[in-house]
Amino acid sequence: MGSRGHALSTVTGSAEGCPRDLVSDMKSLRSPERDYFPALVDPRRVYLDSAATTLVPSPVIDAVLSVYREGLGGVHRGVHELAARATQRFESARLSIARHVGASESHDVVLGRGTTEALNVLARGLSESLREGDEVLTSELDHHANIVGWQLAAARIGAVVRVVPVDAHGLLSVEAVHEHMGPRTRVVALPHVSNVTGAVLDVKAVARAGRARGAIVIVDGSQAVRHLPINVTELGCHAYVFGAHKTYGPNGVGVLVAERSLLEGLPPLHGGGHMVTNVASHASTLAPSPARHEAGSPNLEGVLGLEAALEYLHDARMRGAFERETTMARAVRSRLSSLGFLRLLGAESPVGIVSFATIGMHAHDVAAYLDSAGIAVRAGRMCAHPLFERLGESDAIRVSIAAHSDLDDLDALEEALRGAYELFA
Amino acid sequence: MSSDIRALYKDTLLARGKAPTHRGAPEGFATHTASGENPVCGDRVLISLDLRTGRVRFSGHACLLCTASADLCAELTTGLSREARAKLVASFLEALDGGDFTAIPSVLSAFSEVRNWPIRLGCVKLPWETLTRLEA
Repeated sequence: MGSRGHALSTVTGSAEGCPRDLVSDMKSLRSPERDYFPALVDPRRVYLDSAATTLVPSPVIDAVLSVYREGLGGVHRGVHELAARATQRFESARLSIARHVGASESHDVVLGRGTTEALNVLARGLSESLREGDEVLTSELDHHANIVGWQLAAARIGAVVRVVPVDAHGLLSVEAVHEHMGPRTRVVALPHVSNVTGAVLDVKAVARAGRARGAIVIVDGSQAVRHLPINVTELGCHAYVFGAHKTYGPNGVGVLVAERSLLEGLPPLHGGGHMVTNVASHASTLAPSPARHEAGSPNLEGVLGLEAALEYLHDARMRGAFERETTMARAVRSRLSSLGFLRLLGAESPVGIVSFATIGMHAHDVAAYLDSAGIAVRAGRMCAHPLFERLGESDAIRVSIAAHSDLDDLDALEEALRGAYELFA
Repeated sequence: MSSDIRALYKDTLLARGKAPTHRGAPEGFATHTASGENPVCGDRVLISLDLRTGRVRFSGHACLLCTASADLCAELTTGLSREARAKLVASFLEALDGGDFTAIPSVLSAFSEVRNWPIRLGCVKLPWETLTRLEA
C-alpha cells in the first residue's frame, strides 16, 4: 500500500530507479489535481487506468447534474423556456468543444455516442464512395475501434484494408505509412496515440502525405486529447475523433470534428429525428451537417459534461498538469524498467501510457493482486490484438496516468508488483 | 478494491496453477478437442478427450486461476461417463453462479471465493464451459 498523505516523506524511496534529473522535481510531484476527483477521496485508491476510462472531476459531475437539477427540456425540440435553454446550452457547448480542439470555420463538430460510433460514421459513409480495389490504410497500432469498422465497410464493396506494420520498438513511422500508400489509397485512418504503448504519431506529417496522395486522413484521438494540446486545424487531417470518457468526461459521448465539405458529402449512419428538414411518406430531405449526423435526441448532460471536462483540462494545464504528467510519464517507465521481472512494450513516450509483460506471471493474476492493493490497471490485450501479435506477447498490464497521478501512486504500484512477483512467480 | 487476494489464490490453487499435472497436448490420444477463449484477457484453453478411455487433458495459455481450474477439470472428469461428466460440469458452474459447493467434490470449493471477484469468474469457468462444448 502506498503512503499517501505523507508524499514528501516518501521522496527518498521514490528516487530509486528514476533518472537523476527527476529527483529534484519530485517534491513538486504530489498532484494537486487529486482533490478535484471525488472518486479519489479514499487516500488508498490508486487509479492507473485512465486510458480505459478517466475518472471524472467535480466540475464535470456538477455540469451533468445541472441538467437534472434545472429540469432542462429536449434539445432542438419544443418552444418552452426549458427546451430553449437546453438547446442554447447544447449549441454553446458545441462551440466551446470546437474551440478547445482548434476547429476552424471550415470544420463541423458532430456530437455522437463515442469514438467507435464516430469512426463507424466515417467508415460506413466513406465506403459509399469507395470502389472495389480501393484501399483503406490502418495500422498495427490501432485500437479495434479503428480496425473493425473499416473491415466491415471494405468488405461491403470489395475494398482492401492495408495494415501498416510497426517497427521492432512498436513505433509507427511516417515513412512506413508513406511506403504503404499507393495509387488506390483513398482513406488513411490512424491513431494519434497508441492505447498500448503511448507512442505518438506525427499526425501533421501523415496528413501532409495523405493529402498529397488525395487520401482522406482520419485520426483516432482517443488517447491524445487528455495528454496533448490538440489543434485540428494545425494537424491538417480531414477528420479527428475522440470520446469524452477518456477525457475526464461522461460515458456515451463522442466527438467527430471534420471538414464540413467531408461531412456534407457523407451519407448518415443513422436516420431519425433532427437530421432531416422534411419527411414525406417515402422520402426525406437531409439536414445540413452537423445535424445530418446527429439523428435522435442528443445526450445533453453528456455533452455539457464533456464541455466541462475540456475546461477542466485547460485549467489543469494552466496549473502545470501537463508538465507534471510528462515528468510522471518518464518516471513510470523508468521505475518499471528497474524491476527485473517486467518486459516493457514499445519505446519511451511523453504520454503516460506504459504496458508491460509480467515474466513468469499472467497479467490477470497480477492485475488482481494490484486490485487487492487498491490499484486499478488494465490487463489483457487492450483491444489491440494485432499489436500484441506483432510484439509476440499474449497479454500485458497497462499503466496509464492522468492529471491526478503522482509519485505516491508509483510507490504503491512498485510495492504491489513486488508482492505479486513474490506470490505468483 | 476487491477482497483479500490470498482468499482468492488459496495455496492449493497456487500450487496447481504453477505446476498442473494434467496438462498435455491432444496429439496421440484425443478423439475430441474443443478450444475456448476469454476475449477479455486472451486466455486460450484446449480441452482434449479420449472417448475410449475417458481421459481428459488440457493445454493452452491462461492465468493461474484458469490453469488450476483446467487442471482440476481434467482430473475430476477423467474416467467419468458422459452423463457424470455433464452433471459435474453443470453442478460446478451452478455453484460458481451462487449455488451449492457441498454437492460437488470438496477440492472445488477452493474456487468459492471467486464469486466475490465477478470479473474472474470467466477464468474459472472457461475450461469447464469448453468441455461442455466438446460434448455438445
